Amino acid sequence: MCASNYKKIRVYLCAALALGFLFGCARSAPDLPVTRANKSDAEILKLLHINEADLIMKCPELGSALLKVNEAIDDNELVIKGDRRKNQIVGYLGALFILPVIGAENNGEAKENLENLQVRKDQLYYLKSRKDCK
Amino acid sequence: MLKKSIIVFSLMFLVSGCATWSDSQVTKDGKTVEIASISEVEKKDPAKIILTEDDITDRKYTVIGDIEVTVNKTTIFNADPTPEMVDEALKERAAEIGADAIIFVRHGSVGVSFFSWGALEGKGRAIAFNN
Repeated sequence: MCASNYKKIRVYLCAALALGFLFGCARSAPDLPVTRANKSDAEILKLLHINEADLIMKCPELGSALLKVNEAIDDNELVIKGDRRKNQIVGYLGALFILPVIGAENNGEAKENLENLQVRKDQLYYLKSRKDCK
Repeated sequence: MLKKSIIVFSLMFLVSGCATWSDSQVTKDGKTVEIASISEVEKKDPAKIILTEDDITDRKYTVIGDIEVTVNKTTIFNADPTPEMVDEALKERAAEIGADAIIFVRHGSVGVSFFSWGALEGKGRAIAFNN
């Protein structure tokens, strides 16, 4: 009796772990940019991978580029949020009945986009502060 | 069977009372900053902490450390943590280490983590203004 219960618990634990891997995993917050203290402008530009074309951008252009980045971030977050609802439902069903998790999304592409967009945002913020843009 | 179900549901409601829990860490140059070393006098009011996605360029400051917090929902039935909850957790942590502001604030995306059905991470750099 005890052995059979133990076996059941083990099956549930394994299934729960498998579900955890299959569902949309949480995306970590992007890494913080380099500390600017004690660094020259040239060093920061290099560390932030800012290219020549970015350097000639004027304040209004930087402002509109930042706006576009923020819009793209919102779009990608919406994709993840949309699938999160679906993943939650799959999660409830999976946890209750140990059904195969079909259709769970991990949104790998959206998450990668968000990482790249944050890098761009950090570049734009630095360029704005470098040019004293309001 | 009915008794068991009642117990399970009662436990679920009890646990659901705490909708979220959070964990955090503060590091500087890769080393953990010990909160115990901060005196009560140095600690700040979380409500007064400035939070920005950008840098602060009009005032000189000293970096205290990088804060990383994760807000987790307690059970699968609780609502997902929001960026606002993460910001509050960041502010609380910053206040504990005597910071005036958190710059470069950023969030992850809600999803399943090893410890929770819904986790959201946030990061920021805690700073203190030079007088």
